[in-house]
Amino acid sequence: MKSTLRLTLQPYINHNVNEPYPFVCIRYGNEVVYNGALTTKKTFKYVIDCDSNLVIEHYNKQPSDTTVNENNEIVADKAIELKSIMLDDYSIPLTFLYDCEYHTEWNNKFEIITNTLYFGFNGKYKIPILANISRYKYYVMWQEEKSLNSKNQQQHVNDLGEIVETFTRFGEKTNIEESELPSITELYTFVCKL
Amino acid sequence: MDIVLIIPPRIQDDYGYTPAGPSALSGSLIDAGFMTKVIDFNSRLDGIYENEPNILASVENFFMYYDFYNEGIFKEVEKYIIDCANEIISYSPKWLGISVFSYNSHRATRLISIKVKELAPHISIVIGGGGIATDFKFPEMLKEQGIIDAYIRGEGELSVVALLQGKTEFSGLNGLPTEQIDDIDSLPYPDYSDYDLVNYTNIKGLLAVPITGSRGCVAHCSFCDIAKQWPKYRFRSGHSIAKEIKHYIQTYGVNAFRFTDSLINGSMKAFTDMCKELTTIRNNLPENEKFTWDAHFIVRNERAMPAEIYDLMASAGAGTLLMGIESGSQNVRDHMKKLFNEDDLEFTMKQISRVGVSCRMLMIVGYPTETEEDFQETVDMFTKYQKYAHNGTIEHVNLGLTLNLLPGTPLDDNKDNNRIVKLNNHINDWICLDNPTLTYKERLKRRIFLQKHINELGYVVFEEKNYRKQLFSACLEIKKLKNTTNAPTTILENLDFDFDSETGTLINNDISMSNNRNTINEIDTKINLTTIHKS
Repeated sequence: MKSTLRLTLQPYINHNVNEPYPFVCIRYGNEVVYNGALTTKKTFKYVIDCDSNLVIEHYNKQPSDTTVNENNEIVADKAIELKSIMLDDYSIPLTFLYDCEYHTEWNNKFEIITNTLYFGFNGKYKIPILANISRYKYYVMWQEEKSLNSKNQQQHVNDLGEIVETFTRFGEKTNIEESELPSITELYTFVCKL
Repeated sequence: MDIVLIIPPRIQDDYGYTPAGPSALSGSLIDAGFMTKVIDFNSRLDGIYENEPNILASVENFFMYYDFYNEGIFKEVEKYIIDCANEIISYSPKWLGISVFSYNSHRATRLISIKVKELAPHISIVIGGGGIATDFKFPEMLKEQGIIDAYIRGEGELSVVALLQGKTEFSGLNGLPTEQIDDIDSLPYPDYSDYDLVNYTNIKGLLAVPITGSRGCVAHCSFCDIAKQWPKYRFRSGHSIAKEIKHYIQTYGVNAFRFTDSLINGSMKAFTDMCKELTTIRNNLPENEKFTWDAHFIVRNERAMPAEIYDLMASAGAGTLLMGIESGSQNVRDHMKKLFNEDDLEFTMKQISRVGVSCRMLMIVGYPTETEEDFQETVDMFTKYQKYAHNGTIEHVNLGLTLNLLPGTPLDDNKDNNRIVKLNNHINDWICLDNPTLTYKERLKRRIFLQKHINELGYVVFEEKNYRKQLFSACLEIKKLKNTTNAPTTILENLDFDFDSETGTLINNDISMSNNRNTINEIDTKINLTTIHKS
């Protein structure tokens, strides 16, 4: 099934160097659909089959393309930022895009970075384009659940000084394993004291 | 494959009963020409974590409590859910059907649905079962979010077939009113062929499958919502049930059956016919193949169920009868609309003991009218029947938790007439104005005391560990509820009370009350009332 892909990229331009614009190569599957300098914020539009990876490559950047001041702070740079990707009328959620891998190559060092849509190094950012657009929605739902489990997890230092993983149940911190249960006699004492 | 029917985690019990729902649907779907596959993802969890009980406990907590968050455990859960989703997808079904047993299956239902939709959005998802029978919001919310495509309430056999046939307007579908199936004898047999039945044994370790002889109930007990779910009592002929049992013996080689009925002896004619036929079948089987069955059973008087019927029942293979005794107090049982008295109970106990059939007593502690004296009668009843625990007639006692005010029960529907006020909009936290010292804490105290007492008398408490866990949770819950303030306000707004701060008494201005001045000595209630006064 064909969909219309709209990809918006924002360049970061360094006018202090001879070639101020970043270079980008966009590939869909094996096909190069754009290759050249990115001089202004631009939305690229393609009709695709949604059966391949989309790759955005930032290339030809030199170390000298980054300008720093006397304090070694960056004052101008060449880079590309991915602003959005739309498939038909559906905007691919940022959560999904942040999970995609950015394979960088800088000073002969290779790294895989996630959680960025700012491509400041030479490298390839790879997005799997899912055949069914609604899959992104469920992917995001799942990531939200995962994120809740990461953000909301709790720990508690017990009487022995050990860190114990807990969760809140009915307002009380409860050991996540909860393998130790009070005996019925202990429970009776407990309820009487409530 | 037309549909994969699954049982998601978590159904917690001490015995791995074969789930009945998906098999019943499968039987009807196969009969209508559809191809089905049933998978039990609940019991599989036990196998995976057989040697890691702590992880199993954490994973269970994850599924059962929405406020459980843990990154490490989520990784375990994620792996399991992805495996489940991939297995479902491997059958290339058009539909996924999820049997939601209770609230404890909600989280897994949601997660499995999301994962299946993410990996295979072309698969449509339908959910149904007891877990959505009274909770209307859960399935509607999932449908609104596009996580499921349909839900079925009420008896699903005909509705699920209609759904797969492409009908959208059918009873029970997506919020449409449910209709009872009148002729349950006409339903195809449930299909258990997808289960590895050796993994499902009953309490005595026998290979067991569920069987349904009736739906609904002849009684209308005040605490029970069966009459609301199934207003009409429908039962199958004894001949038809016996035929189905014979079919299972021949097909699956099982030797035990668990009736899913609310009661097995609702129609004495059908029950007697069934027992006669089962006796004939059993008499023709070698000794080591003779089957037994367990069933819910109501205590009847001697005239309705004379001694010879007990002999017949025993020869038909009766194993354990699950009897709703509920209370040792006649006053409480009368209010509950239980249809037996102390003589009937004594007669029944004597008869089942005589013929060698055992029972599990089902109890309710903390009924709204239960006074200290009533509770003492329950305690005394266990002392009196201790001999039956010792000779094995009383196999277990199921004490439940404390009385829940379940939506759809006569007690809940007639709260005002029964002078019951629900606090904190919570099914466990309520108070009966005619019995105001019976607070949630007092009920829990009686419940825990009773378990302690009958343990000491030598009774076996059914699912003891599971209930101990739930009782512990309930104690923690009370601590939380004690800090709330909205409940007493509700009482004041609705029922015209004043609080005398000098004497610590609640003064009722409602002239319809039998006593217009109730002294509240119970400390918890005082705390709440003080809160009102201050506010």
